[in-house]
Amino acid sequence: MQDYSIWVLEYAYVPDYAKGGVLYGAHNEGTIKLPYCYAVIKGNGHTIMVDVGYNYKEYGKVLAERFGVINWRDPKTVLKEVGIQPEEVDTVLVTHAHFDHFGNVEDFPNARFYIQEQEFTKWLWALALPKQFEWLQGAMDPGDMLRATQLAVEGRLVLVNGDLENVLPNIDLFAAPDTHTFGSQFIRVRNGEGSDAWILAGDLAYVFENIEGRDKDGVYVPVGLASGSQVNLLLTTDKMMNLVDRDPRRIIPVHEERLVEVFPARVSSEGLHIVEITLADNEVSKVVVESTSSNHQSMS
Amino acid sequence: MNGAKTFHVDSQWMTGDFDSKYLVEMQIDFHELKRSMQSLSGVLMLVQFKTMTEATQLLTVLKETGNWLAETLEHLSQVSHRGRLEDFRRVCVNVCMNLQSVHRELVEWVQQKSVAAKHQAIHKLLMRLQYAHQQLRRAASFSPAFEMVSLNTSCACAHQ
Repeated sequence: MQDYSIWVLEYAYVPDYAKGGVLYGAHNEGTIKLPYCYAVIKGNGHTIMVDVGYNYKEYGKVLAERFGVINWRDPKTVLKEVGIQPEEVDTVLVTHAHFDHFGNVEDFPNARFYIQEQEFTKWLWALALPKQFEWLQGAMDPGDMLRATQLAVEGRLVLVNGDLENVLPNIDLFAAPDTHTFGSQFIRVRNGEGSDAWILAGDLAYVFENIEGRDKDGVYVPVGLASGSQVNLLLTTDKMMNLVDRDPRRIIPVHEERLVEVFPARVSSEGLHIVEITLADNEVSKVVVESTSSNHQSMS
Repeated sequence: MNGAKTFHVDSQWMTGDFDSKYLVEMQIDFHELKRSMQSLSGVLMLVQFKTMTEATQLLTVLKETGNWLAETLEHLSQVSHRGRLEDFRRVCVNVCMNLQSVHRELVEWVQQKSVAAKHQAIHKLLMRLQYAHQQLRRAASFSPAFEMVSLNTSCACAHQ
């Protein structure tokens, strides 16, 4: 029985991102397209986001222009592709507090946000370090911190300390401290019984090679950039693998352009991908239409 | 005459060594203000969650923040400009003083035992921080200060 649908929605992209940024050691190996995405989980009476992207204004706009991010679309436009309004989102599971994952809380006025406590406490610790440690202090802008505090005041921010099973029915949070960031987390969605589980990896894995190895040799490769330990990244990858019966296809790296080659997908009128990871029993596909011959085909 | 004077000042903005030095100095202050604001926001949030229950821990962070603000204000008092760029410094001074005010109250707040008093204080402190943030944004939107909007991200999502 499938309780939850999962879609990965592209909301912007960098057409030519250095491969070394996503795959440790891939120096001088050219560039790849880097999609910016968030995920939607829908089922059991809940509409859930995994991360919320960033807002194309103020700091977000400056960064987007500086780093060549193009084709940004707001959540209202992007979520409409799967028939959802931002106001319907009741829960946001934040993988980490980098601005492109946590920078648009204001577009989700009715959601409760879950983030690892350590993401903030360790960051605050780093903030008080001398200037030579400034690199550790990056990735959050003052506005994001203020908006997080506003969420806390409104009672819509939940700081999670470690793993949390059943944050919602059959959805679990797993802490990944000292990895990509101080307090990253990944999300497991369990559909029904047995091994039908999916993991949304946040930035703990950018591309398939991080999980499957280069040339699919099974040797984990850490992401190209992390403020934490590469060892912890690899151990976390192994933990993710164990949680999905060591089926790498069930670990979803949301920055992976080739998701569209593995899962049903289509391109929106805005030129952005919609990837359907799994579909609940009572849900209609948002990427595939029934053809007259009852075969399935992509809408794109 | 006024037009000629304006032209002179505008040219100086972009090319003069004096202006370049001024903007570099101001960038340091801008960064420190941004860092102080992040720190105060973080403390405000975490105290509410009682996640850093050791007051000494919080006070250590606040002490550092207080030092940054004092040093920044002193630095700002030493940097001046005779042209329109002076407005930028004034905004930063204003932000700094507002943050110092928030800092003082936050230190008192952390030391208070009364939960009710803390609850009353948080809304007021948050509003003050939001006001200071608006001022900082105003400074950042000042065109020569554009490059000061730097998040120094370590995320691989196309950020350096």
